[in-house]
Amino acid sequence: MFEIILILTLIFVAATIMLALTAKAGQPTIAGYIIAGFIITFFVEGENLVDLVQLGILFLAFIMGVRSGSEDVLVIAKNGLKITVILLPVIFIVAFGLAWLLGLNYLNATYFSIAASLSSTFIETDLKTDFKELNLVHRKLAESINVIEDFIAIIILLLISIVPLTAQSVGMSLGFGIILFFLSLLIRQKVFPWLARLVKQSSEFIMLLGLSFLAGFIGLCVLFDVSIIVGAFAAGIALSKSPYNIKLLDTMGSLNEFFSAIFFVTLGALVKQPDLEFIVYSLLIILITLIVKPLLTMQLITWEGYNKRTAVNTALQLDHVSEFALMIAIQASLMGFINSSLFNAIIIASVITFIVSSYTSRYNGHIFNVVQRFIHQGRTVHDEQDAKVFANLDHHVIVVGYGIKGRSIVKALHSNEHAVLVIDNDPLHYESLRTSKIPFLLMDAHDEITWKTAMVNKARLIVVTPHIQTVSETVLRLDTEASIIVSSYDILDARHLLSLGSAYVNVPFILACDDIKKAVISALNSNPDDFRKLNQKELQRQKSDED
Amino acid sequence: MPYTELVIAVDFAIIILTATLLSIIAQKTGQPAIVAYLFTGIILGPVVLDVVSGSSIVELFSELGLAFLLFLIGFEMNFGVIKSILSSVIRISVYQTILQTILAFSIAYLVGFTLMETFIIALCTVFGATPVIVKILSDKKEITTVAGRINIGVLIIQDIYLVIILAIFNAESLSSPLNILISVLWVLGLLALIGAFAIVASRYILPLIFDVVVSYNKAFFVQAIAWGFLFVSLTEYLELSVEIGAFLAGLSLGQLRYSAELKGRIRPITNFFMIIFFSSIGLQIEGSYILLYWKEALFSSVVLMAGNFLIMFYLIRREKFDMETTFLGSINMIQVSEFSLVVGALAVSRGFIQEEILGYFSLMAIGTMSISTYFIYYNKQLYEKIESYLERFRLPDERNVKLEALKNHAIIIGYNEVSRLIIPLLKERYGKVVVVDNNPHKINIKNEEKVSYIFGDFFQEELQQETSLDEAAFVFNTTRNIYLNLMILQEASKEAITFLRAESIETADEYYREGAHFVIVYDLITRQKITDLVIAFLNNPEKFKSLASADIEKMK
Repeated sequence: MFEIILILTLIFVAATIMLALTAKAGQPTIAGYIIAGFIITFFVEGENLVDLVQLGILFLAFIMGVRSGSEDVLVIAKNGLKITVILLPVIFIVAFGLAWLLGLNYLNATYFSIAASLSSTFIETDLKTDFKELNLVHRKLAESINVIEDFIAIIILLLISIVPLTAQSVGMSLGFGIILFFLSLLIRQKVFPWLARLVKQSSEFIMLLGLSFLAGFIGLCVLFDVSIIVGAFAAGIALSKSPYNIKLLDTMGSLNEFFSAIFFVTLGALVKQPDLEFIVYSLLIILITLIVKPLLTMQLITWEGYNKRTAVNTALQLDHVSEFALMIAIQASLMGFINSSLFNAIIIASVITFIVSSYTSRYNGHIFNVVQRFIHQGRTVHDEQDAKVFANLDHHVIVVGYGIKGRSIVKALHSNEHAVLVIDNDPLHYESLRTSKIPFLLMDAHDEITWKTAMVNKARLIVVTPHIQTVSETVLRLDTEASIIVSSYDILDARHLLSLGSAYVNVPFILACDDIKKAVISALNSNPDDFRKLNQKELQRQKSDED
Repeated sequence: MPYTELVIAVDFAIIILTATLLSIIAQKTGQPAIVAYLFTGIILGPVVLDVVSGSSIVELFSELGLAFLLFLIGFEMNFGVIKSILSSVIRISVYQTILQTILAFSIAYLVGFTLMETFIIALCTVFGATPVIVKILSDKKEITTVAGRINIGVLIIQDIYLVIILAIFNAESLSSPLNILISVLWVLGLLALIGAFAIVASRYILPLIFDVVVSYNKAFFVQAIAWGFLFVSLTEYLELSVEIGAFLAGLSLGQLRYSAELKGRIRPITNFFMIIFFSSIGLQIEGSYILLYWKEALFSSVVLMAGNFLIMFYLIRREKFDMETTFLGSINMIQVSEFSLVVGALAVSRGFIQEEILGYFSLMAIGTMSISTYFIYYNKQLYEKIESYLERFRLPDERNVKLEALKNHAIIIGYNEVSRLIIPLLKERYGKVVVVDNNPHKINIKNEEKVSYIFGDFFQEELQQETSLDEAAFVFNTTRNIYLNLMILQEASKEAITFLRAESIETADEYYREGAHFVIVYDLITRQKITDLVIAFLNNPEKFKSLASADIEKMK
């Protein structure tokens, strides 16, 4: 017992040191953990921790399931569906072909392809991020691709556990998968809410409930000889119903953090002496992950109607090995299925891609300048509009962002008979803009070409409505006579924008402070229930206004 | 494919499933969860079904459970508060140990054990069950009450006593008093050293290393865990009490400004391990001789529980604490600890007592722990029932060390310009305003508003407890996280006025349906103003100038 506690102490001390270093350097957590693992190999054998590593995998897969099944994630998932369904198989087949040429057997080739093609990760993102409210198009798109990848990864996992590969066994496993899926849906919709209401919702009990379903689903998987990761993920889906999942994410989130630290550090500790094969494998995985996959992603995204900037930014969020690949690799390694050079290669490649990826996201602007000429822009929406409309623009107002504020401004400008042009990079606004007959560009406000097309040199006023500092700064640096109004949530940023020459900065709380103060005073001095109903009605009114 | 081999201990899954089932039943019938966990072990262990044997992972987790529990309790203890009651606590524990040993000795002798057995039994049965008391008190948020602190203090001192007893049992020769003295001094010396290190660290080392990582969520958490493990390893290596090591680690972290946040993150892990811990107690009980001494155990349990209560009542009252504190402090400590099994087993291995006597210990421990759970759980209700009878014991000069509880206050989540704007309004109305923010740099805000500031993520139950969310009259959330907002609507009292923030109309609509009083959607509130500004800019530059300059003034 003392030995294992000593190992745990070593793991956490090493992880602490590495995390402090990597966090300071802006590096991802996973890289910190795995490097901590390399360090402790001098003191411990990773094999001692098999049980705890297993738990780490299960918690990780479980939390992934809880996250993937929650409403806000499902809502945004559809954005990237088409892209992922093409992207993933293409990369997978390319990688599989390569692996086969290198002489890997079917199972190892699959592990190799999983590592090269999947990129979903959630360990860096805050579990309680509300995806519906993400306002950056590329973030939304990247998260959406991540979620769909998770589901596809689970299907792949289900398939590779089929041995022997006969029609009957394939049917059995798929049948089991489908039953498991429906079982988790049933629990998600009916059983879990019922259980959560049945008893007082202490977080301890919710945790116990979570653990029970986890144990139960894993039991089923063991019975049917399917990877327990599938079971853990399905258990997560089963318990993903909002709002009951909130407490679960909080309590199980802590457990997950504890065990995933052990998991990733041990992963690093399991890496052995490198050999030639290892170098070839890892180079190939890195090549596919950092070059081939991002380029293909960018191309697919622009073909979907997004602009190049969004495409590049999205792809640069996905240029690393997935933690799913790590989970699958370590399981395969514990069972002795995976070639040890390949196992090492996957882990090393993941560390390298995680580190590089943090830089590619940081320097996305430079990368965009280099790669944009290699991407073919598909149909651009403004092509469909009359070219003369843009040529004739003069003394016009350019409104960036077609959200609540943007729409209100555009409407007022329109009724005051000012010429307007809208710039927004989210294709979701396409329909409403097209029907409103207002000239618009579905392009990114960071790009020079956007402004050229928008005839910025003839514009009278530019209004930036999203609170995105980089957009505001880009606009303020444009070579134009037009006056500029920008937006910012932060007062320090606002000051900076004023110093850059903006005519006005929309800082919401300054504009809203009187209203909020008034609301607080009236809440304190009126019947709370009447106050609530009044506000609710007011929102309903504004909602119908919007529609 | 043989995935089966890889499945982590099936034992573990069975324990979890059984514990869940039993705790649902327990909840529905008003029993404390701990009883459900204790019975999980009894049912699965040798006593009833004998299907789970306690694999190494179960053993590891239950050991970690105890360590984490004490680690967490360390967080709750504040040097300042400890100092104010320390001397009382030491007096109480010393006399309690002596009186209780005499009581246990007399009872055991009375029911007919030999002198040696009686001696061992007396040594083994003085301890209160730390995990039971601490777990229920912290679940009931009573750890920080005066009674709670007295209990913790006494239990910690008992732990030191326990380490000494273990050291004596382990000492090479029991016959030489010098040997015993040396091992006792050795233990005390080491503990003092580690304690001193913890105190020095909390002053000089920890603030330094935590300030570096506090902005990095994961690093922050991992660092706290590492600190705990360092102490656990150290004390385990020195064969001291792991519990005291963990407690000291927690104590030193508890003095940091970030302790509420850390507590919240560590609590769920502790709960997880504790479930395994309580179940594993039942697993250790040998079925074959559990009923051998049942009459003796029954008699001793009843007398011991009553005796423990009276002794504690007398001792706490001697320190002139008020009646409620005295009563609660004593009713909480009436059980026999599961440590009696550990010490008992050691005594068996050294040949001091027969193995069968463990049955007596087991029955007493499990029985008194289960029963005392109810007493601790319903201690307040019990007090209210008999308060009038206790009147006659009141002292004219009793101390009133009441700790202030938050009630009818305002909570603001997120410290920014908007919160600053409304703090005076809320302060005027509610008196007490608590601000929670997860930005560590704001912890040093100039406190001109005289509000309490707590660092942390409001998601955590711990922070919600710390700020008494369920007692708040006004909750103002300036952040827009949908999960957090929904959680506030669930957990806040139905009477509380809630101000939340949303980004979209749909989300705002959802909050209203869930009971929010006012939802701030900035874009909605400001869209008319910004539109007016834009139109004024184009049509009426003079008007724009006057509108804009006022706002720009505010920004500067």
